Amino acid sequence: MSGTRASSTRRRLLPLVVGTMMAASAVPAAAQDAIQTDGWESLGDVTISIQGENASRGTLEALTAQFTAQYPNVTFDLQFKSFDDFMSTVLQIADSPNAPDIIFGNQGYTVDGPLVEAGLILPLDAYYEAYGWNDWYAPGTRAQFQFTEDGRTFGSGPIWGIAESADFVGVFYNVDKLAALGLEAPTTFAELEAAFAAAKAAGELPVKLGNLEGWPATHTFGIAQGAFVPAADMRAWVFGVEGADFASAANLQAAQAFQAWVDQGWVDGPAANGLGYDQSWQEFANGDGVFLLGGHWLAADLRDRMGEDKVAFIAPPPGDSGSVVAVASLSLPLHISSKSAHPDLAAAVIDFVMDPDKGQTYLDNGRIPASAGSVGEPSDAVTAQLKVAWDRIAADDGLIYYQDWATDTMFGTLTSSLQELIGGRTTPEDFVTTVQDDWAAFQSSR
Amino acid sequence: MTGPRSSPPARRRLIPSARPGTAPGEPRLVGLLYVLPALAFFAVFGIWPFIQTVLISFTRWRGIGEQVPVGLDNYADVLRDDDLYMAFVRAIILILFYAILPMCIGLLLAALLSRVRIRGLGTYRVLLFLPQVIAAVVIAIAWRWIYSANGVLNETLDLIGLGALTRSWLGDFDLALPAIGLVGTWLNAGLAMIFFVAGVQRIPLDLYDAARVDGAGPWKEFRAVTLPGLRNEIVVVLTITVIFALRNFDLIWVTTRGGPGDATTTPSVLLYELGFEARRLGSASAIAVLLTMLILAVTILIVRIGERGDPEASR
Repeated sequence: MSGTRASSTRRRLLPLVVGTMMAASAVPAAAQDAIQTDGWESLGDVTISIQGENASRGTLEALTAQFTAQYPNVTFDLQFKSFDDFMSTVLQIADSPNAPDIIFGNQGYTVDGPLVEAGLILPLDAYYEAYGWNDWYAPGTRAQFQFTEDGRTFGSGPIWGIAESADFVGVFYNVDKLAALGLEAPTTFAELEAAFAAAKAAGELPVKLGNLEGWPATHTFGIAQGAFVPAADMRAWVFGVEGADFASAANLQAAQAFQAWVDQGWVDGPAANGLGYDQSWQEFANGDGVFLLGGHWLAADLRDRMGEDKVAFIAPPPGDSGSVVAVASLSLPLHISSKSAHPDLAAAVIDFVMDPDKGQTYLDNGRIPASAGSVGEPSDAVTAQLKVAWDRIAADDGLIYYQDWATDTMFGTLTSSLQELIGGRTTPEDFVTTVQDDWAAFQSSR
Repeated sequence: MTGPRSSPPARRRLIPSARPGTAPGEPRLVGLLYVLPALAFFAVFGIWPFIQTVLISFTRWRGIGEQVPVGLDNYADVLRDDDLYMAFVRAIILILFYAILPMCIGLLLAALLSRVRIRGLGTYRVLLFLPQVIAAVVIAIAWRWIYSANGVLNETLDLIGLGALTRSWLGDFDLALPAIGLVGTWLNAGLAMIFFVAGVQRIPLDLYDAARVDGAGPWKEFRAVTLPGLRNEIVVVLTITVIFALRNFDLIWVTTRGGPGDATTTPSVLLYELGFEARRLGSASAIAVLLTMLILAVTILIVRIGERGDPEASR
């Protein structure tokens, strides 16, 4: 075990301490009992079933095999689905009589909220204490796994999940095209916009955007948001903190900046709303557009198509504050089913596969491990850039999460009103008001 | 008109006496046995889910956990929502494209075929009917390509010197709905044609001969012979295509997901977003119930209008 981990003595004592502490609060009975953290070889033959999303396939297959190598009596039944398939079935899978021991969820009111409300997953607070997971994330980052027991308030209450890696939106650029403009990678938002202008002047498409699905623009808009909006404000808004406001002066500035990108022709507005997301990044890979503002998960595909020295990734260039603020979160949370016969073993498996000393496995699979102190070296230039970007976002505490987590209907509201903003059908003022109205209606009915 | 109408009761009375020695009630019980498999299937997969939908529409439910009774709140919520009315308006616009236009095209083809003999008729029929056989998702993906910025439609426009008209059709707020509508027209025109061509072949040739002897031109002949002769087919085609228009989801979801903005959001898209994205199963079920009621009302209306004054309706 690496030096960042709790010593074995501390581990054995902690459950007692935690148990006493938890007894006072309203944590379900399962978490109050002393937690078993080792001795798995004496359990007999056990199978731990895991239902995950495709992005975790590579890392989980490799790391659970290592666990079995250490404890041959513990085997795994791994199931993975694509994101859309997973999200449309996750609640039913978690609700079924033979629910998997470990099941992925999704932050916010549409998946994690119902799972908590229905009592289908266990609070992990005691495991966080026992295994020292609290040291892996900053409190602001960990809040995305917190829900009150009734599933109605996001961002506070017990901790229900934990995630392996980081998801973040940043700036991809075509290395040759930017060089042809005689420019370096932008380090500030002003430099980014200057690069857009230079690209336009040179007859290039500055920003490639395919927004037929509506959600890609929530990421693109996030780059503008990051230049104006303090991260803590948007996190408070996502968590429904009273007084938080999307229709703030800062968000309005961001919306105006975004609209200006369309007006200047830096984003091809009418084309964007009719172009599919997959097609857009494929066209970017084929040389259409200087910049692509999108999620780090595109890196592997772009690298494979363009070559690792032809595409580069940077964190969102900061605005006047100098702090990097990005649409970013941890990856999909892992939950332990309340129907699991071996919750302690499931927690030990989670601890094993996410341990900071497993960092190399994540990097080899193109994922940036989320836990602080994670060890490992990126094996290619683009993955190295991802790691630099994430380290900067985390260091600046710049996560604003995905804005659609804020309410159950926010995904639809945000995507359609951003399409309207891009299509010139709404004003920046009406856009921020529409989004805030959805939030206010939800908070009053919650 | 009154003559044919009075005949069915007389015929009905004749049936039992046609099989002497059999108790009057017996055939009916056996008949029930025959329809039982289909009835059971329909009850389990048709009626029971619908009853469940109605029950869910009176609750607050997220797909798992407790169903909290809320009375008529869901109906009050969705009926207060302007988005729902706009969605129904769009569904009605789609009826024009999915039902009325295909019917007109089908009638035109049928009228032509009733006068002109066309070589290779079978081939044309297969080609026109082909879209019906292809899965809607495949059709939607194909048309997404055709309508895309670098798609076949824009390239064709460029080629014939109409480059000024090119645009991203599905990204255009005003044209996205008609663009999807025309896919429905293309899809349903073949269906209408098959029905109408079959119907025309059923019309006795002497009626056409009589019309021609009376000096009827093509238009008069169409109005006096073809159109009345196709009444039943028109009712069937309208019923099928109007239901398709009101509840269509796959074509819209795959091409535009209801966008840009809400430009192509129909009740079924709204229902999906509320039910499967926002996980408000109660509100989504309320929309489903309202949509079902509308479809039932429209279907009954079409059948009633079709039967009115129809000499064959009582046959």
